[in-house]
Amino acid sequence: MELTLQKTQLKSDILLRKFTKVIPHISDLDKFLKLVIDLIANTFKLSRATLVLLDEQTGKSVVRVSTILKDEKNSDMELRTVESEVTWLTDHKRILYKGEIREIQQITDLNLTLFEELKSPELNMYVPLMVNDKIIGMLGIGDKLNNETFTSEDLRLMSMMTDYLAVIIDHAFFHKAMFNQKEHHRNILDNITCGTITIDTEGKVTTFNRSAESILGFKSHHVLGKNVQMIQGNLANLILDTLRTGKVYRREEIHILPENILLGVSTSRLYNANGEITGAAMVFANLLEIKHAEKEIRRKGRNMFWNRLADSLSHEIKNSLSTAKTFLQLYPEKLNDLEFKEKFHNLTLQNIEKLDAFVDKINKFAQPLDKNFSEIDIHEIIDDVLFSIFKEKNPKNIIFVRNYAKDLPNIMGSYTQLQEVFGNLILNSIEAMPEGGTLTITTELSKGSSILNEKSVFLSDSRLLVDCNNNYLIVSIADTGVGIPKEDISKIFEPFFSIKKGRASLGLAIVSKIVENHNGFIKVESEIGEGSNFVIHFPVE
Amino acid sequence: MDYNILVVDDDIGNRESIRMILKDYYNVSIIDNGKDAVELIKKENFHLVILDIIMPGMDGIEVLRKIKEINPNLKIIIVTATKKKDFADEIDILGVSGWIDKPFDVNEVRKVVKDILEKDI
Repeated sequence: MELTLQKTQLKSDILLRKFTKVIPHISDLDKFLKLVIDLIANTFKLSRATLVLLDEQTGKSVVRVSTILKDEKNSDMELRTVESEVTWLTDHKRILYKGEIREIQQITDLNLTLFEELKSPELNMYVPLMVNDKIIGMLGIGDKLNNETFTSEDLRLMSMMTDYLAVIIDHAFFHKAMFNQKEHHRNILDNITCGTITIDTEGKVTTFNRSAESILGFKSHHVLGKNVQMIQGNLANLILDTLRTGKVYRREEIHILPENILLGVSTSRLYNANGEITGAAMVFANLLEIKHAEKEIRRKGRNMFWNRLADSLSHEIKNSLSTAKTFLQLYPEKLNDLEFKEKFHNLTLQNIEKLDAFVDKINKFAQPLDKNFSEIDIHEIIDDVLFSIFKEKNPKNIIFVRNYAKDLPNIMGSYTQLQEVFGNLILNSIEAMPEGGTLTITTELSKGSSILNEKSVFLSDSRLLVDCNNNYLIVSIADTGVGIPKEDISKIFEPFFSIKKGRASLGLAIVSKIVENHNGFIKVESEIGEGSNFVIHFPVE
Repeated sequence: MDYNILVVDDDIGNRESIRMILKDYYNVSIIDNGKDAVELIKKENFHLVILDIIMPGMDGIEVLRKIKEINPNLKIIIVTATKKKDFADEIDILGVSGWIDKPFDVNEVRKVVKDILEKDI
């Protein structure tokens, strides 16, 4: 008896001592599990031991590691689900013996097939691995190699082992998840284009991402763990100030010489879950790069504007001058040419008037628009415009459809400015239908939110102008004309851009300026060969 | 020899100017758009086309390309207000006989046209 007790004591001592040696390998979970299972199998001289862990992602159990001491094939290593076994163990929280299986299957609908599946050699029992009443896996135990039966001391030791094992494995999973999370954060930090630095409460650098390396020219391994002062005086002062005082900097500009780097820096303090200060963080971007890019865009935009302006001006002015010059040059030799005298007298005058009108248009476009608004009935303006277009141009082969909504509210606006808007748009639509077609003018009242839900293209950033809570009075002018090429739609409201090549085209630029003056915006839908729809939105106060 | 010239320009002042400058020396027809110009060139025999490069609808380059398809030997003078810079490459590749700048100079227009027409056909 004394001897048996001593033997058992020895066995448990050896087991614990060996187990202590296995624990440090926990950082490599697979290796750790293999060592544990070998340890258990060797200690109890088992023909077989199998460790099944619950996969947290799928919620199913899989065989993680299996040891066969007898010379048997490892045919059972593939992953399999063992839900029924886990269910039973979760409910009963004790060892499941092979002998009980038949009885259990008779009274429940559990399908405890793992014992049968793992036949070579067979498993005799499953010991649950439990943490806080939750099953995280199970240890399958086969026969002893010497065919001895398990003593109660064996079972006690085995249960003790699995209790330790469960806690350790659970922690290992937790650490692995934390590690993955950390890796994930590190990945994000390394791949964002902003430099990121964090420091602890002593001012030592704890994070120094890849962008910080490339912007500041330090390698992270030179900086990590060192005082942040070593990086760059001004930057360090900023983050240290935030650490000490809690002051948050937002897009603070810091000029670093002699490298001539202009940084936009933001800082904030870091706190842990208990609200204690753990350090400070700093995010920064190279502003010079951004500013250069912006400058380049502005420069290109300006160049394009001047190009278009020059083209338009030369076309308009030189066309007009051509006629006048020809008239003056030919005058001496064609004194008696009646056709010349009549035709060119008129043409020259017309051209001078055209030039005059063009200059007026440019002047008008350059002038700021007034905001002398009064209450306006939009239908009245549109009808006015239509009337004068009919009177002056008498457009042929064009069907006019008016789809006016009833009881539209008045809007605040300038009568003359809006006349120009509709005059320009309606004339454009008529010009887009040289072979005739249908011009449909529709008015309606709509909520801002439903405007945003529509699929059509918004010009530039006009989507941002939509106030979801506001009502909008909408006027759409749709033609069945030639349409606008997709690549041009965003440009047609720019001054001097024209798809009618060579025409000084300020019309739509003025339209857009006036609509903006009314806090409205324009959407354009167009298909080549099918027509265009200009949709103007005026906010209703 | 009687030469037939077609002036294609959407601006009435321009096409009437050229016609007026040349009408005492050649048979000058005028037309205000590229599409009709191409149809006319298919039907009638012109020795020279004076073509505005910037027109609404079918623009000058397109007209030039179509004319070259119909008759690669037809002489063409390009009218421009912007000193050849636009479409210069395309025009060079398609091949034209000369250029006239706006505003027109009566003597220069007459000289350019005369030189081109009297070169060997």
